[in-house]
Amino acid sequence: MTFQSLEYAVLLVLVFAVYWFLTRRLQNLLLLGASYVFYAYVDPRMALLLGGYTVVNYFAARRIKEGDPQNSKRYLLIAVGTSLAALAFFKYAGFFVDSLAEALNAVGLADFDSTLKIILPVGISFYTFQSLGYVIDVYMKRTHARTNFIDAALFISFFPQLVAGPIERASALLPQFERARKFSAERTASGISLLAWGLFKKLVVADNVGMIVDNIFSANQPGAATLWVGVLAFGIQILADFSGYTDIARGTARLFGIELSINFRHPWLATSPADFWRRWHLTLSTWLRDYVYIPLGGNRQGRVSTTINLIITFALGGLWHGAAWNFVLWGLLHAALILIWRAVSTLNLRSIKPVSTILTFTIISASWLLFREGDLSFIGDNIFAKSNDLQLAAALAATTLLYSIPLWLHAVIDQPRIEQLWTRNDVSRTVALTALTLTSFIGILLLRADVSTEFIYFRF
Amino acid sequence: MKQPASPESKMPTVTTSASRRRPLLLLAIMLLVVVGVPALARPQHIPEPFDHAVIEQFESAAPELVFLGNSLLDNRIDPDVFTELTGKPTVSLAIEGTAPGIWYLQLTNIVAAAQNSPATVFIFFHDDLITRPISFTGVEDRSLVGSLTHSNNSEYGTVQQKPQSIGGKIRSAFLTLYPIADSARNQSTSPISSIGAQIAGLSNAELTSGALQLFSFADKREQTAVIQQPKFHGTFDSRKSDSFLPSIIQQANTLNIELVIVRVAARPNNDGSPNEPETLAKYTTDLANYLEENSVRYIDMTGHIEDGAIDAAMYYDGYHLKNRFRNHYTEFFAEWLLADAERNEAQEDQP
Repeated sequence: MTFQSLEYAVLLVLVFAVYWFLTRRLQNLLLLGASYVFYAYVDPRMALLLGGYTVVNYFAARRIKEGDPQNSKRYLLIAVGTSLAALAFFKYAGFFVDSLAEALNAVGLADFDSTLKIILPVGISFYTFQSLGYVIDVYMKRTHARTNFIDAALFISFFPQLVAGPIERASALLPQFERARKFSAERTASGISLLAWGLFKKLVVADNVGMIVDNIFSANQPGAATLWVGVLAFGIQILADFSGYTDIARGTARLFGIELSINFRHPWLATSPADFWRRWHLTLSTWLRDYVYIPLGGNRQGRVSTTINLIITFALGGLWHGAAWNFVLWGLLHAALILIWRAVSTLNLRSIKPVSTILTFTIISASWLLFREGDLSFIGDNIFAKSNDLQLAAALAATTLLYSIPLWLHAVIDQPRIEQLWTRNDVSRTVALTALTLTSFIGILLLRADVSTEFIYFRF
Repeated sequence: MKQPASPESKMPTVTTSASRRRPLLLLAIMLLVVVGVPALARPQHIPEPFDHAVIEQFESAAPELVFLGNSLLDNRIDPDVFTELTGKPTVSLAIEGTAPGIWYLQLTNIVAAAQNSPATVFIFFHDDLITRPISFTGVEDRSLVGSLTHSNNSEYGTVQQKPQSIGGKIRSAFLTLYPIADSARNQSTSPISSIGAQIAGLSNAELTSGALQLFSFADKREQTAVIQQPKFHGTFDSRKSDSFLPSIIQQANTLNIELVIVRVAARPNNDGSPNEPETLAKYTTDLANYLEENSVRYIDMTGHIEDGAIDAAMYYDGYHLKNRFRNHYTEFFAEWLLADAERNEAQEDQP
């Protein structure tokens, strides 16, 4: 079930209509039921997998809490091993078998076609990381193991953020499920507004720009100029698509009195590649920082070790996105960008903010090429090839930039100084929320794309 | 362990019923404005005028053979090659994404309006599309419908009023409440694309033609092999009366044109067998019988998968062919038709 579908609207209205008349325990039970309906809607087998994750991590966390240190470690390894094994099987088995087959074929040791095809359960990367974070946090005593199975199960499967995040920490989300929630008209208004804005970003910006991107990347020989327009457009599409999803998720959760983590802080305003990762997919970058980079040693063991840790973390971050070499290369490219930026930090580029922002935007936009295109020979054939129709490329670039204007405007009005103007009192706040929701709604009615595609991050 | 601050903890403490009601009142006003204001906009729909130039182009070509269909026709038949092979002037009116509603309009308002009617009209379709009461396989293009519609063309509207699914009914109700949501469908180019084109110094027509050239289906990259589940929406008997098929046959009879309905094959299964579920096979048999009863010729290209003339390697995706096989398919189809005509003549000559 996707956020832009009629089915989702029906589910949301039905659950909301009942939710605020229930006690806390029944509210959680209702949300859990809705989450499994949401996830099983396309393929009920996927709900079994989600249930399996829940059972393993719930009992492992309890055993970790109850056991002595040695037993705790054993149960931690069981939980982590099981979760990663499931992720490896569903997401990476085909990739590794294909890569092995290609390598063996290349050196002449074997000659076979890999035909391993495994269905990728939607959102598996997200709920694997979320449930892993829970058991690791219990082991590290950052949070306590939950005895209430419903609460723990809801933490892993909460439908607004189940399939594409934000990746929540147990210490942030579970306490909200464990507290009584009261209906708040203010929070509901802001939830509706966020939901409408997220839908606008998806249906108007991401889907319209996405059509340009898909056409360019499906053309046999677009040529360099058109290809780079496609890359620029993809950078806009993926931000609108993913941050749109996050806004819908956060808006939906707010309707139920739950606050999800912020995942984006206007990444186009980043002043360096490292700053980009403090603004883009925050819940993934902080997860990788806390559960991979710091345990590896972080920046505490000298320059060489820091560099190696950074490369490993970004390579894993790339691989997390998809089982393909282009994602690994994309991750490594970002590690390289951060290292190069650090190396030239003597130029003090960050002090000249507009320059560093434009430079970062350009570099990050270009890096999306590796993310979008898996066929390296296609990139090689087109990256410097002549485009036959430069005027068409210019028209597509102009159209893309026009669609991105609302995102730039939002980046401006979301600045704290301007935000103060419309949060002065409840009337000004309501006027602002009404204006945003109304504009989003009319924008969707008038400018939505002919076809709405699946959210990009559903593939991960 | 420190717990994060709850969002509620930041809320002001409410004490009186008036202050409790105020946020609710503001929420109600917000919802009323958001839901009500867009419903007030009732744009006037000015339909696209009928495009007489299409008839002029069609007449100047003076075709003997005409092909109607969508992209599945366009990437199978090259009308110029077909003309060379058969020696008969051929025109293809294929438009990507179209369905029987548009083909009916083309037959009624272009083919019928021309001074010299062609001898034969071929209609290419896949699965059960020929009995689907739709004009487009995907997004509705009102401007195309307008450019192909005479003001006196009432039958098209009649077929459009056929019963809808629950989703269709909800959509209709939504569009009744918010007619501005439908106004965008009446424009061939989105306003944002038009401004983008203007910035680059292009007109809408130049943008469309440039995009069609660069992104034409024939010039797309190959996809990995895709097996699609053939589409089936109900038995032939339950579907035929709601469809455009009876109207198309009637129109062909009125014009005294030979109508040939051609079903293209979906990409075969990996073992080479046709991708044809039982329900669809039954539908196809019933369709063939119906067409025979109405003296309409029917060609099912699925049979040519079984004889090996068309194989999976020729397919770009579940239905479309790779560009390089377009001429191959055109030649195969033309030669098969000529051979078939010779066979029929020989049979007729026999005492």
